[in-house]
Amino acid sequence: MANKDGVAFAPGRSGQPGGPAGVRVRAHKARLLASVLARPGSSSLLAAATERSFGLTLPTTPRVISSSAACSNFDFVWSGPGHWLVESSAAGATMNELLTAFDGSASVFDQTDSRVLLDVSGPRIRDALAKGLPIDLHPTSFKVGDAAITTASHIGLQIWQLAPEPLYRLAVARSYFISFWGWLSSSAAEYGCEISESA
Amino acid sequence: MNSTDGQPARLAAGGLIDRGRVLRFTFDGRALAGYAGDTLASALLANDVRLVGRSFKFHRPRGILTAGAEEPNALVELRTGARREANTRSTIAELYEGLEANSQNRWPSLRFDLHALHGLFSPLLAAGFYYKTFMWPAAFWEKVYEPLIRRSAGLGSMAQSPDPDTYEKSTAHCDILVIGAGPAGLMAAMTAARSGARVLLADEDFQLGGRCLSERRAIGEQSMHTWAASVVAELSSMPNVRLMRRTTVLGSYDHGVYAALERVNDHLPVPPPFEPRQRLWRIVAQRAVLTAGAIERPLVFGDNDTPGVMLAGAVRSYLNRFAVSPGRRAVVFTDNDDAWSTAADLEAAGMQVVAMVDSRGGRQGSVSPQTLRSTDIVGGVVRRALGGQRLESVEILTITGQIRRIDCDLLAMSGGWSPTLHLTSHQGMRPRWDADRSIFLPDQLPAGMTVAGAANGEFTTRAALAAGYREAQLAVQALGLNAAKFALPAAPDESDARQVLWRVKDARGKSFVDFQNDVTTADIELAQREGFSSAEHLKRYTTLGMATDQGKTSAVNGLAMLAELTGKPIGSVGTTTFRPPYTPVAIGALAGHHRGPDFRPTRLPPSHAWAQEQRAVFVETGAWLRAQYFPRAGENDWLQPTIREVTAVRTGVGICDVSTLGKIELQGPDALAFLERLYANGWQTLAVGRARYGLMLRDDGIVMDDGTVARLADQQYFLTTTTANAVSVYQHMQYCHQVLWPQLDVQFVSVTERWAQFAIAGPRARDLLTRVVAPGQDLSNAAFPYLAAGSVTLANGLRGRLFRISFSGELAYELAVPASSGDAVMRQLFAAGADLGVVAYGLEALSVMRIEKGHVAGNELNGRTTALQLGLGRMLSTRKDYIGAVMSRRENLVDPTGPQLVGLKPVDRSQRLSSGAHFLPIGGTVHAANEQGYVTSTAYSPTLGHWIALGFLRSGRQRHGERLRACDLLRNQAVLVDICDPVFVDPQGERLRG
Repeated sequence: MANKDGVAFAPGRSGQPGGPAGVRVRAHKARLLASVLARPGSSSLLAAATERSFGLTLPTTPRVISSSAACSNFDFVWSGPGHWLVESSAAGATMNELLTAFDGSASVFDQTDSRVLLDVSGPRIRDALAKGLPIDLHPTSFKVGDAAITTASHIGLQIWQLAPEPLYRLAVARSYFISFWGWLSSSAAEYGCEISESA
Repeated sequence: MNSTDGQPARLAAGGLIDRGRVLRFTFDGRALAGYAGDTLASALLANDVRLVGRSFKFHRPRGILTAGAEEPNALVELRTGARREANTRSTIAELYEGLEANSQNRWPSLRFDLHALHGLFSPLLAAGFYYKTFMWPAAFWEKVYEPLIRRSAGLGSMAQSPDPDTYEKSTAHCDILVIGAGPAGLMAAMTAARSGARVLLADEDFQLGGRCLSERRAIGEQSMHTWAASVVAELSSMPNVRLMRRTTVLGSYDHGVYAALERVNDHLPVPPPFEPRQRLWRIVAQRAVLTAGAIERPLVFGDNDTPGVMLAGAVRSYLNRFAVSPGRRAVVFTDNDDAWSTAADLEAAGMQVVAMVDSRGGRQGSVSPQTLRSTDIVGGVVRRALGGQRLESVEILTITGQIRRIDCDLLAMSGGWSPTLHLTSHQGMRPRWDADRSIFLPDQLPAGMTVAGAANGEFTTRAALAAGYREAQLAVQALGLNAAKFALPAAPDESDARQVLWRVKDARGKSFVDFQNDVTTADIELAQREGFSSAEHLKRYTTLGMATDQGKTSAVNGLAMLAELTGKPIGSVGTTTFRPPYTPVAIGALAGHHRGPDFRPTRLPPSHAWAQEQRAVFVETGAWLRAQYFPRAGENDWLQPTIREVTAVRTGVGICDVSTLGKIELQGPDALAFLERLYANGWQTLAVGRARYGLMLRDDGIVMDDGTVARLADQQYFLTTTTANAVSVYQHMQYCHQVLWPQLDVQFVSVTERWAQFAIAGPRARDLLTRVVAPGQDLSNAAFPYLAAGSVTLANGLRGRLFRISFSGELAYELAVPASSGDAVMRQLFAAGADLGVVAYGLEALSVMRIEKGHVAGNELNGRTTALQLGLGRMLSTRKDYIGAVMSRRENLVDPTGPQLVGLKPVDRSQRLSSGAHFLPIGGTVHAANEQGYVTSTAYSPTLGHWIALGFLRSGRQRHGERLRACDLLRNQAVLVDICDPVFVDPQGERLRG
């Protein structure tokens, strides 16, 4: 992908060429993305359905909760009251699995392809993200499993933390991705940025 | 070279400079040398350069007054070419190897400045001169006066080419922000850090320590600067502390938000690769301790702007921090005890202090009688400085009335210190006047901010350390932490006694109050005489307190004089409001990443890369970048490709990326009820697998947006909005659901980003589509008629959706596939349709075809038009209630003689029509009273072979066949037009059902 000025997301090293990369970016290929919206008055049904199907309780605060591999490694990212973004990179993940699981207690919308997902890490990742994200990612404020709906460079995004290194996942609307990447790559440039494709 | 590397005024020893690192630089082309740790000002002084600039109005010779950010005089142009930076304060510009500086506001040279003749005309340039001297004749203003003023006034000149450097914005979060790293700030930061708080310590200097770097005093067993270095070392080692050097906190805002500018690479000739020049910080702090110190006030006497007259505290900075002697024979002039230590420091550095002039009379201060033994201690005032470009002597008026002239090359003056409390009043709070001490003090404070040290009037080292400790403890306790307790080091409690001398009344020459704006005592007297006797009026009439220094050294003296003239106490004269930024900020830093193509984000539709390959010409439509047309070899304008694309669609098949339309999916048992309330037309009869045109009104009955709704399943709908209104319609729906009808069991989300959606239009559209869908998909008119909607499987197995919707008026489909497949599907379609002559068509062709079909779009859905006016009155349901229903029936909105959508053709078919032209009867005068409507959209119709247009005309539907004038007063043309039906092509709609 390239934008009108040729800023492209391509594997390799960008920015400062020497030394270990301060920022690492890996494209994450989601097989399935979906929006799950609770139906009014169905909270106990929904809780029972998610407990039964995924063995978990959906987060009601800005958190991400993951199901087991037995059910397609779904990540449920809180996206607002009664609203979750569901993501899975498991090959077998399907809308049907979600529809069956929620069994009418929530509406499920296929959102696959609607966002580009990036896994970002590296010793200077927080410094790079601070150039756009207004929220506090310091470990005292934002930990593994925390999620947020925020913005960077006038572009809306969702972020959740996957590992303490730190490793974050960013979800950005597809049409904005090249503009977003223009911002992220120039913000990471001074630290040296290692870019890789989806594993 | 000797130990000072050819710098004549450099002291042989001492200072916080690195004598091992000589830095070469030039000033007005002259090659000079300084040391690492110098500012440009200290290096100039070390080279005995005293004359540094020319003043703003009178072009008077000026030197270096201060050693900090408050400098009004010593402004230079730094760097050259595209990086040239006017009005750089040499007192904070860090010296670097190869630095190039030039004096400004002088012509032809700093020493011989022709505009200095302004001084001779100074009566013409008195307070309010803009409003007086240049008043008459009025015609002279633009042609003579303004160019004249622009040439001679103003400060430096801008770089003439784009800034090659980059700037950034960033956010930092902390528990406690400490602003200023002097004694109070270091103590506050240390206390907060030892208590476990996340601390951010910001200081504008490149070296942390504040006055610790400039004073020859001790804290505990250490010299002040050693103590500061040890605190900085401790702070640096703590993971909960962030030290920000070269960072000026510029503004204080609501909710603990502060703005700060970090000069990341201003101290280098060129920023290293990938690094920004400057970074604008947004700091979010739970609490803030303001320890910004104080700014010394000049004394107001005759020709007090002569180079060689310097603030006493600045003299100590140059001596002690930079090991520079700003003069050999010094006179010190003060109204307070603090400046006595300047005399002592000068003597300690081996300078001669020839006279100590204290307006209070006699020996004062804490300086022991053993020092200053050879100094003439005079009770009195300096009434004039002499020497012009370089101080040669001062004229003293003693308390006993004697006049004495004393030769000297340095006059260190002090009118006492004013707390640097600007940040306390950025949110509208004003400081209070402490009449006993003649200073403004912080009064009401912004939430979360406290003030400590000199900024709070706690001037002595001991008081500053105690205040920093105290305020940090309170701050950490407010955060719920246990405050660290430790013993404070011993520190001097210097006397700050003063008896304020606002101005020397028997002065000779010009007594400057505001150096940067050339405002003298005479100007203030004049302004007061002419009635400008409030602080705000005084500022605007005399310009006192304006420009880059914003009155940092002049405001209090000016107010005091105004108080004296009006006979009011200073506290009731008031002060002008301090506003952000504290010091000037480059506009580039405010823009950060957002300049050029990154000014705002751009949205790219799924076929963008493909369209680039087709060499499409793009146009910005809101945030989207869309293909406008696809020129081919030999086509040199927008019209040729547009005609070709329209003709190809009308006779063959064309494809247009319409992914930019807003797409919203709804589910739930009440989805239908929700749509019924949202749209003006009814949905009860919409069957699964069918789509329908829909119209939405605003609450006030005006049309909001149009689009289509498809019923995909019993409780699943898919609606589209116009590209322009995608966000506002979604917001509107959220509002309706969350606020108006929360009881409705409906769920909806935007799926705009999920789908790549392509319009495939033209008589061969079905032929093309049949080639890419999976075998067995029946696209016949019977199986998939006009306004059908459903899922589709492509030949390669990809699943998508198909809608039989037409905006062009042709047989047309909209094919939706997952966005990541959009590029591939576009290529597939073109490969499959090559022999059909398939074309890509852009926004221009799309627009032409919708005008040919009389479809309304943004030009008609302009927020002022009703369904009736648009010819969509039949869509307004009478069998249900919906948003806008009641208000749409207002008398004026249903007036049958109101404006109505019409089509028009030029009588002379070769003439071109223009949007915005007004309808007028053929006979009457061209006057607003005769206006009958206006043209909204025009296009050259390839199908009809001439220009056509849409517009609104009073009672237009009854007037088809009438002939009117379309008058365009902007382009100064009038075209005779025939009014007709707005549908120019296929009025029966046979093609789209074909």
